[in-house]
Parts: sequence; structure tokens; C-alpha cells
Amino acid sequence: MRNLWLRGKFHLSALVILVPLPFLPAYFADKPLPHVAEIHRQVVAGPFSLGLVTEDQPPDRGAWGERIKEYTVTFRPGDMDTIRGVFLRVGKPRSLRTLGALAEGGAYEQHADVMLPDELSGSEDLWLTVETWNGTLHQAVVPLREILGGSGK
Amino acid sequence: MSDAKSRTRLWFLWHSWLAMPIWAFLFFVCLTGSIAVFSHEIMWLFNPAMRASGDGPAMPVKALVAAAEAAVPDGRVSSVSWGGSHIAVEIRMDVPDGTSVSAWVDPVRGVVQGISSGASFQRFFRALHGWLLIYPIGWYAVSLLGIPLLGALITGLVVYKRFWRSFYRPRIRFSQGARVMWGDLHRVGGTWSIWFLALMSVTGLWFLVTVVLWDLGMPLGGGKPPVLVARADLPVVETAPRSDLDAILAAAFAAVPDMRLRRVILPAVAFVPAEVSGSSGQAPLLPDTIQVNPLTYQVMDVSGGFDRSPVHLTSIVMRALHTGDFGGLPVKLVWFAFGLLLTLLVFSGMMIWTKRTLRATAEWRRTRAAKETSHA
Repeated sequence: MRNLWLRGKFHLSALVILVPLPFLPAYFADKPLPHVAEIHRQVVAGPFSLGLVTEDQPPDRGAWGERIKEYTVTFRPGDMDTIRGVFLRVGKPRSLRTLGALAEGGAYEQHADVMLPDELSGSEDLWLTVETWNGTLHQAVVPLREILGGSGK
Repeated sequence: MSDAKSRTRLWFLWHSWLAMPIWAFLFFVCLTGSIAVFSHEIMWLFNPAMRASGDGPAMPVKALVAAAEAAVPDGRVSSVSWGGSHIAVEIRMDVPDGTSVSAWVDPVRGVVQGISSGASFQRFFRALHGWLLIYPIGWYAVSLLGIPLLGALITGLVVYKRFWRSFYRPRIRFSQGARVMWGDLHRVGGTWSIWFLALMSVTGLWFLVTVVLWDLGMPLGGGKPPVLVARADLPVVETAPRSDLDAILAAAFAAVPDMRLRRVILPAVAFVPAEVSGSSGQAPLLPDTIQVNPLTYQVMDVSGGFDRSPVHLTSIVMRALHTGDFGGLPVKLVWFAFGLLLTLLVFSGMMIWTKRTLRATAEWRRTRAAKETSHA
């Protein structure tokens, strides 16, 4: 037994090859499975019903210490034929120039990095603005604590 | 035993111990990395849909896009990629469940030859090699291998006296037993792959640097603020106007005439310009990207060559040097061959180790113990 250990211990690194095995089914799944829990909300902005998704994790820190939360917006088929863009912002936008972070991505799923204030009172709202090709704005409001993730702070 | 000899022996032990405890992991990463060099070509070999039919004038890109969109209900084109004359044009489309599919379209006949979805062989091998399918732990584990690799190279050069003789007088003795053969293979193979070992360890360690920067929240991209289409430049219409891909390409070629086209990314969001990328031939490692307004076909930004942030520039060069994907098939062949040689080096090192180093380590310990008692 001791002899086996002496001879075999340096081949143990071969066990690393087993590491990818448990991840294979998820990797070859049709839709990649989320690796952390997610928060899902369906929001309605005018004629549009959009999915709002975020990881159930506290916000990230950017390079300069700013607090950032990434949101995913999902669309129904045909929605993006009339939508110019979707913007997300904490707090009510005051003008067309301050609609917030522009969601970027494909026709069915887009992502936006939303800046958060350093201190949250818990009463903030996430404002989602849909701008259509004819220039109309449609808005939806979600209490931020419901869609912040982590412990909601 | 003289001090110099003892020091050489210590270098030798360092050389052996650097890779041995992790040899199988290193072996796996070297092997998967070698295969990953040709992953695109292997896909091409096994998937007839990816092959282009051959000569003839290519159809307008909008015809290819129309064919692809007709083949995938509710599919919205997000990018079009050209891989070379032997590979069909890849048209990626977003589909309603949030994933994307690739349609392989023959550029001459304009026919959709096949549709692939999910993880491709290429992506799978890259993920297996680069992060063992588990990010970021696997990424750290794999990129940290650059340290023992670099260490093995440096100690190897110290230990192997007059290694340059292997360049002009390589000697592999097959008839004097396994230990001698593996030893010769290891020395000759190691000498011939000095450049490749240095390249792989340095570029590998760069991947460690990038993941650290990423985890610290540092931007790795161009560093320039994103180019966006102004709201005032957008037409006021009921439904999104269709963009003419051929006009986008014409505008890009007018800005960078001698470009070898690689990809066009089409935005779904009105404020985001279309992005054309390719290499202009002057600097094969440094692609050019041209941002074009997809409705007015006005070129909004051209960036390329050395006009990038240092981190971004380093990332592009390091990645190209690591994968060998910058000079077509001949370069890939060299990378593949030396990748296999590196795999063989790891294996032969392990063989030598099991046949020799265990004994040498015990001997060195004994000598040291004897010395310490005699000095005492």
C-alpha cells in the first residue's frame, strides 16, 4: 500500500481530467444553464412585455469603485422590429439624455450595466425606458430591492 | 562532490520537481491545446455543411442573409463571418429562446447547407483547454501552469550543458534502452522547442494577468468610449428600417481598401453601429475594425494597427501568438506540431523522472546529510 502511494502519488494530478466531467451536461444543454440563481421579473412598458433578469448576487465593483449591476432584458419575437432601444436607470429619468444605461445585444436578449448609488435607502426604483422607432417612450418601474440580488443592499 | 556539481544537481532537481507533481494536468492541457489549434479545421472535416463549394463569383451578402433568415423562423442575423475560401459563410442568428444558431451558407450558390446550434466542437475544445469548463477556477489553474513551464525551461537550459549542440547534431539513441531514448527525446525535443516553450509560458501567463485584471474590474476593451449613433440621426418610422449589408461592406472597404474581411456584426439596437472587422495585411496580428452607421452607411470610426490601449494591444497579440491563428494553415501546422512536441516533453519528462529522479533525490539528500554531519 505504501509502495503504491510512493509510486502513484505523482500521477494523482490526472484526476484533474475528471473536473470537466460534471459540467459536460450543462455545457451541451440547448440553453446554457445559469451557474448562479437568477431573479426573473416580467415587466410591462406600454404595448411591450419584457423579461428582466439578474443574478441573485450583490452588485459588482467597477475599476473605480463604482457599484454596477448587470441586467438582462428579454424580448418577444417581433418586439425589436419596433423598438429602437431599451434604457435602464435607478431613479426617474429627468430628460431624454439621462435615460440611463443602453441595453446592448441581440434581438431577443440584451444586457445593460446599471450604475447604482453608493448608498441605497431601500426605496429606490429601477426605471426601464423603451424607445420605439417612432420616438415614443414607454416606461416601467420596478422597486430596486426586488430586483437587486444578494441581500438587497 | 564539489560545490559546483552539487549546485548543478540542485538545479536538476528543481527542473524535475517543477512539473512532475502536476505532470498529468500539464499533459492534458498541452494535448487539448494542440488539438484546439485545429478545432476549426476538424469541424470543417466532419461537417460537410461548413465546406464552401469552390470557385465562382460570390453572391451579394444580402442574398446569403435572406437565405439564412428564410431557413430559421424568427431568426435575426447578428453576425456574418468569413473563414476563408474553403469555409462556408457563417451567419449567426438570434433565436427567441435567447440562444443563437449558425447557418452555413455557400457564398457562390447562396444555399444554406446546414444549421448548427449549441456548443460547437471548437468552442468545447477551447473551453476544455482554457478553463476545464469551470470558470474562473479552471482559468486560474490552467494559466498558472505558465509558471512551472517557464521554470522548467530556465532550469532545463542551466542543467543541459551546451544544449545548442542539439540544434546541429540531434542524437536520439533508440537501441540503448528506454531511459536513454526518453532522455535523448527530452533533450532534443526541449532544445528545438525553446522558442515555443517561452512563447506558450509567457502568453499563458498573460491569460493569468487578464483574468486578474478582469476580476479587479479593469476594462480590457479598447478603452475608447463606445461609438453610438446619435438619436437625431435616426429616422422616425414605425418599424425598424432594413439595413443593406453590401452597402455597409462597401463603406468599410472604402475606408480600409486592402482588408481581408473576417466579420460583420449587425446591431439589434438602433443606437449601435455595425462593426466590420478584418486584417489589412500590413499587420496580420492587429485586425482593423470599422464602425459604420447601418442606415446612412457613413463610416463613424476606424480603429486598428497600434491605435489601441496598451492592454488591448497586448491582449490581441498575446492571444494570436498563443493560438497560432494569424497566418493561415502553415502557421497552425507549426503550432500543432510543436504543441504535440510539448506534450511529448511532458510525457518523456515523467518517464525519465520515474526511472531516475526518485533515486537522484534520495542520493542528494544523503550527500547533504553526510555534509552537514561532517561540518558539524
